[in-house]
Amino acid sequence: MSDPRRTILTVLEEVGRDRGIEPTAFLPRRGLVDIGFKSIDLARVVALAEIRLGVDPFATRPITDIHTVGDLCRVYEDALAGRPARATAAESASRPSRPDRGAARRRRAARQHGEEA
Amino acid sequence: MSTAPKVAIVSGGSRGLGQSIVQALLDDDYRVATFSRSPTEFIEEARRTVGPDRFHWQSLDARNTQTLREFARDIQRRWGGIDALVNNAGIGTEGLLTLSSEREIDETVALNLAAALHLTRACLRPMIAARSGNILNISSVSGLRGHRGVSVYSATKAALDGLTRSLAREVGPSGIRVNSVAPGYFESDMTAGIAAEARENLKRRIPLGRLGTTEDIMRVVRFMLSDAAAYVHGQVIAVDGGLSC
Repeated sequence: MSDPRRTILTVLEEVGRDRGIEPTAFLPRRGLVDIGFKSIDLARVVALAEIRLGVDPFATRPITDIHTVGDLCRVYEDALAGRPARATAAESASRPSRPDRGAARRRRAARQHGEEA
Repeated sequence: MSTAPKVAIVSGGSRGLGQSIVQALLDDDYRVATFSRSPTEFIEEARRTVGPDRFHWQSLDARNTQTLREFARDIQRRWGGIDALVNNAGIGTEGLLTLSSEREIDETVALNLAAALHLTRACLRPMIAARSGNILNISSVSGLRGHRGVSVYSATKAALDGLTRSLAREVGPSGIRVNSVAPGYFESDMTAGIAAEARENLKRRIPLGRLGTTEDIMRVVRFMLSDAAAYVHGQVIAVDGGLSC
């Protein structure tokens, strides 16, 4: 099995070439939109990645979670390793560390029920 | 220049219009992959006479989205790409909506619409990679005009036409054409059960005065899949003797 990170970077470089994007642009923390990718480019990346790596991580998770080059590489690494999807950089940044959002939601729901009762 | 035969996937190609589409594509030198729940005499004959290099059939329940994805991926690996997809599989359900069971509704939506969406999604990947492809949705005149007693069926077929128009916008820039062929009433298993009197009434409503034939539909399907239709995109072509005009 080829290195998924290397494969994704190669695909990104190939698709980016059509937009005149330099291969050096694809650094892990850089946003795909910031680099100049449009949704149609991402569709082509996902198509080529599925053919080369044989997996489609986006059959079960939304692609809207993917913001950076690193996010994209990580999703394929996880899918090939059979690991559950890890949080993307954007998800981690927006998620409160404590208490978790689920707990906050549950507390709000409990308060609401209490008020109604 | 590559001389490899083109590859087509036809959903529900074991009988009726699907069978005719499979046969026509084989006659046009395509490699054809199709699936249905169970094989028919036509499938067994094609397997014997055409052989696995140009014909592939698989028993598959189209309600299972994962098997649809795996089917498309298998064909891509087996034959190196997918040039054409014909979303033909579907069931005809009849009856007033209020008298239809929830199960009938769910099953019709699953087979006529959801399966087409999932199979299209799976086939688009190799098409986008190749920057070319041809998707043809077999919808229905019932998706264009209201007909009593076919609300569920009509809803799914109209939705297929919606898919055609929106997807055409999405993937046209990738060199992929998307269209619908909307057959009217034609001689088939679906219309075989229509009583003689109802059939005569139906003929009177069709400006050309007759039900269509499979050949009538097939000529248009072949045209839409050919390079002769290279500039036809995002359209719903009614083949209905004028019923919807």
